[in-house]
Amino acid sequence: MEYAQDKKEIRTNKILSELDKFVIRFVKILEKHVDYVIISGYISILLGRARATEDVDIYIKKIPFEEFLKLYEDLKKEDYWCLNAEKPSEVFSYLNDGLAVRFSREGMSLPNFEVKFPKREIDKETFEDFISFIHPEVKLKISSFERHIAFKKYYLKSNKDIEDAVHVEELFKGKIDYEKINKLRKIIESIESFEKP
Amino acid sequence: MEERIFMKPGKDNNEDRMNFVKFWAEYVKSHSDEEWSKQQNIIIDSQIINSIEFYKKLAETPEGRENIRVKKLKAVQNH
Repeated sequence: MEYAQDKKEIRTNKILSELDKFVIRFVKILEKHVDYVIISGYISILLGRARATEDVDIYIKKIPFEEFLKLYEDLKKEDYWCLNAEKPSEVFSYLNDGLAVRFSREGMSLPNFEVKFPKREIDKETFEDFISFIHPEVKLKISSFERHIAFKKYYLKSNKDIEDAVHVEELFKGKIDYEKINKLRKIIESIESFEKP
Repeated sequence: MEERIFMKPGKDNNEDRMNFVKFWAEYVKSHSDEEWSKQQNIIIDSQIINSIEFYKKLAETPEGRENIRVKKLKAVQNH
């Protein structure tokens, strides 16, 4: 696995897992309609972390209902269902309220995709601060390692999240910008004190 | 012959888990993509295959299909 920090690109020839194939299939539909970035735990798994997951978190850029409807219909056509509501207007209103909605393959609930609009400024920045994961079969957009580590270590903080962060830190030792992580940490901590007084 | 890397046992479960995370990251770093991903996929694929098999089996009978319908309904209602 080669990480070119300057190009913000990671190249690999890994053997794709069933989970990777599941993600690729979903993302190929998603990117026809909206800009996206994969965030959180799946990034560590994609990069080799030895654990499974029940969901894959994805930010999509805020889009009007008409465009969302096309995406929703395409997902239905490709055999996905939304675990949160049947009516597309209802699914869209959840997203607009800043909530995450989940999609899975028809007849299944696991694994699923947790899709959301970015709410805070720091979340919106993810679309400008991503890495291209390049594999002979696919190109995926994933959140930058610094953002991934900062959120896992200073916002989510569970043992699993800390381990996810450490995996990436160890893997790319010497290629991670700790100044950037500290800046993000300060923003996260200020958000936290506001959200959890 | 390949030089082996050894993992330091942790004093408790948390430390041991963390040591393994670092040990495995080192393994991923020092081995080919094919080698580490083959091992990682054993863990990941089993979860997906089990999930697919579970729902496939459930959908074989009318009761199972009803069960899936109720599960879906509950998922929507619980949101």
